[in-house]
Amino acid sequence: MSTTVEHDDRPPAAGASRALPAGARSRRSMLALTTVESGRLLRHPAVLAATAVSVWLLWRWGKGTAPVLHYADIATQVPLAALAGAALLATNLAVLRSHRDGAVDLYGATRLSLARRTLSHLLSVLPLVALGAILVVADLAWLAGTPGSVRSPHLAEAATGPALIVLGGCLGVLHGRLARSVALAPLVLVALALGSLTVAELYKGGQDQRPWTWLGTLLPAPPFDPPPADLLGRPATWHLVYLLGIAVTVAALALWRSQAHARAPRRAQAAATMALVAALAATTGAAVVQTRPTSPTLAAQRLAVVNNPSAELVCQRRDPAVYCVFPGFEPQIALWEPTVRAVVAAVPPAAAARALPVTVAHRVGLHRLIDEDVLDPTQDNPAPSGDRPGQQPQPGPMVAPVGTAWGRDGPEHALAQARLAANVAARLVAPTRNDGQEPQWSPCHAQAVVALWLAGQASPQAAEGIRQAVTWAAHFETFVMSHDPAPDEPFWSVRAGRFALALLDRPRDQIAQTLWRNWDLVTAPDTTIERLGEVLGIQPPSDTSNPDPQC
Amino acid sequence: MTTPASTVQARDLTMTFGRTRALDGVSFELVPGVTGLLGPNGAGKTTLLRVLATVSAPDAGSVLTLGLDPRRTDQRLDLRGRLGYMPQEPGFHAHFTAFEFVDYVAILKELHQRRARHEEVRRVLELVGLDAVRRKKIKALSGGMRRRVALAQALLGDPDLLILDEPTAGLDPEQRLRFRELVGQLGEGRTVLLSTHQTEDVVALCQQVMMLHLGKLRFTGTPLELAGLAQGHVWHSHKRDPGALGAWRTGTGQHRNIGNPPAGADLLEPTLEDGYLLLLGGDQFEEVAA
Repeated sequence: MSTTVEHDDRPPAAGASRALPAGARSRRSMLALTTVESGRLLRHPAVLAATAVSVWLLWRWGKGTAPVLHYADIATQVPLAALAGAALLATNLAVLRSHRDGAVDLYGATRLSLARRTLSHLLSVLPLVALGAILVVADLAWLAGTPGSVRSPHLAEAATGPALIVLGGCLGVLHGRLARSVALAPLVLVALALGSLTVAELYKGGQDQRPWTWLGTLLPAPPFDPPPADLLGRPATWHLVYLLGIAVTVAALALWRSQAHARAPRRAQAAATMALVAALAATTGAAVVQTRPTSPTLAAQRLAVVNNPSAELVCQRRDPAVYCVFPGFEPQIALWEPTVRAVVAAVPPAAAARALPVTVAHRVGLHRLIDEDVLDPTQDNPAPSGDRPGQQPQPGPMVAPVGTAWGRDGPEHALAQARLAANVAARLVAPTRNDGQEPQWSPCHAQAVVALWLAGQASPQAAEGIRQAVTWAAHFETFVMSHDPAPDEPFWSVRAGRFALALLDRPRDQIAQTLWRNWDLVTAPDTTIERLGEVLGIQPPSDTSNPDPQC
Repeated sequence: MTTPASTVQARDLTMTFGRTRALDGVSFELVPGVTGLLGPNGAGKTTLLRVLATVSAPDAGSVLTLGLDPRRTDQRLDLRGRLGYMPQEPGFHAHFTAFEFVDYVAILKELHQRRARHEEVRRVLELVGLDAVRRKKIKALSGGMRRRVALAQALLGDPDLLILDEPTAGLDPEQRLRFRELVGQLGEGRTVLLSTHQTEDVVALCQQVMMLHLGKLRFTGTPLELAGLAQGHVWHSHKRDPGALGAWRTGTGQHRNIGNPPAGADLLEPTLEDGYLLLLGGDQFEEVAA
């Protein structure tokens, strides 16, 4: 039976543009919905809180260091993980809104399909991703503008944080389409956070030993001085492809689920299936590539930097020192100069003239990146062994080692200043002899005390760094001024450190005059701490610990 | 010139949930104007409205709405663009403002041009008298205002078919009166299907009435015809008549009885409610329904 429906002459519905083809109208509506959902997502309390946390973390971590941008870009990833978590929660709540509020029937009588609504929710994450990208760019721009910055960021590392937001948003949408419980997303978030933290901790133990840790979501920068960018060996680009591949897989699954639920057209189903297959292929491929062991070439390069770092450095003479840095790190020299000058100024001019120019040289701790077998001193391949307290430093150019990380404030800054100042002082107190012979360095004797006192004159931060180092080493006999010491790093007895701290607490002029008058005596390798005490008229701390074999 | 014809033709609609047959071979036609859908709780009213609103598909049977077959995807989408549906529980997003909520539904209805859509949202909010509170969050609105928000979203796009599921439930008398005025206006020139428990609403608004009971359509006709079913079956007495299907004491102190009156009973003019109650009365009154 045919039906004739009486239509009055009412105009087409406002805003409907009935002349527009159905597909185009649906796409535009989807974009309109995306706009609305994006706005709500950006205003969501979880997102606002996460943004504040991210900004604070970026600022807090950035303000304490002279940035090496190919490390700072990695450091943006953890702060943005907070935004990724918020994206997961907020998109999940948005997807489940109709279920939570009982609006399923209302939505079910509208034109926009479930799949298009799902796509809207997926696309609504993009402004949040843009916000994350803006935070990263702003952070790196800010750091690039600070003195001493080494400007070599990696695009893929910088993009990893925003990619995590994409992944978080897609996961939130998928969980909303798979389960109607709002309790699931927080549980997933907690599981992901715990899993990521665990993998990150395992990764810290040595990525070369555990390349599979790259199957995790984010891996923070190893906690040592940034090596040159080409020695990092992080498969950042493949990891980015891996993360985006997972995100697209998750998004395609969410679409696929929506299409199955709402009997979508076959063409749309085929497109979602193709996207799913392509994303799975990309993810798998990236997973395989990023978990390959370190290439022999890179391993050899790293070993060369550890065994013969001087060959990798470029040097500049800026009186009273020669500064040798990894290419690209030249801006850091200006940061070191005040410390070096201050230490030199505390040495009698005649003695300084004999020791200058002192050579300050970059050292990086790559040991955790190098296979332990290669570093085994019993093997033919020479390996550094003097980096551990209590061991004899390997012979080599007597430089004042300095790290590639240089803080602007905070404990790390104090320690970095103390390291540079103490190492420069050590080379001034025990300079390389004119005949080219190695200087005699006695970490347990008076010259160590004098060098530490000289270092303490560089700045209040350097003095504070020495105090920290001595305090941290209280239960040992010796210590070094670095978490990641170089093979030619001078080391110090804790007793010498304690005596130096006692001297630093006294008036500078009183100590300086006595030291300058007795310079040759107090810097002689065989002058004991007790003798120094007699010269200064100050009782040195008692030696209660087991005597170190080298003291 | 076209002649008024049915806007909805339903044939043998059947829908089952587990062992419960929510719709059992329901057939009917709707014409422009307001049609009331009466029935007790669990009669299948909401199920029928969901089928007509294309929210769910029947297990068997067919429906042709505005000349469109909702079984076909393209026609179903076209149909959704021409109907307005106000569910019994619309599922308000409490943190949305009234404007945001209606605007959101407008997008779902594919009113995609922002400026025109916002004009449309303002129009429907003004139509239901909510223009002044459009920026208030829904959680801050009274129950009556929320029902009007629900009606406003159903009016988006000036639909040809309006499906309202118990729109006056929970409203106070004044609000119900205002609602009736509004729905009465809306029924001019379009088809309105109104599900309700309130027989007064049907009397006040509807040109047609259908009654569902246990998934079966028990009556279709005018309100007058429904009331007429009780002709000769309503009487009053000083005491409750033991033979009455139902009886209650009225304001005059006398009892109003419905059922098979005793000989010589003082018969009363029946109302639509009498006809409705009589239809629900049971098998003994099936001859009345017939």
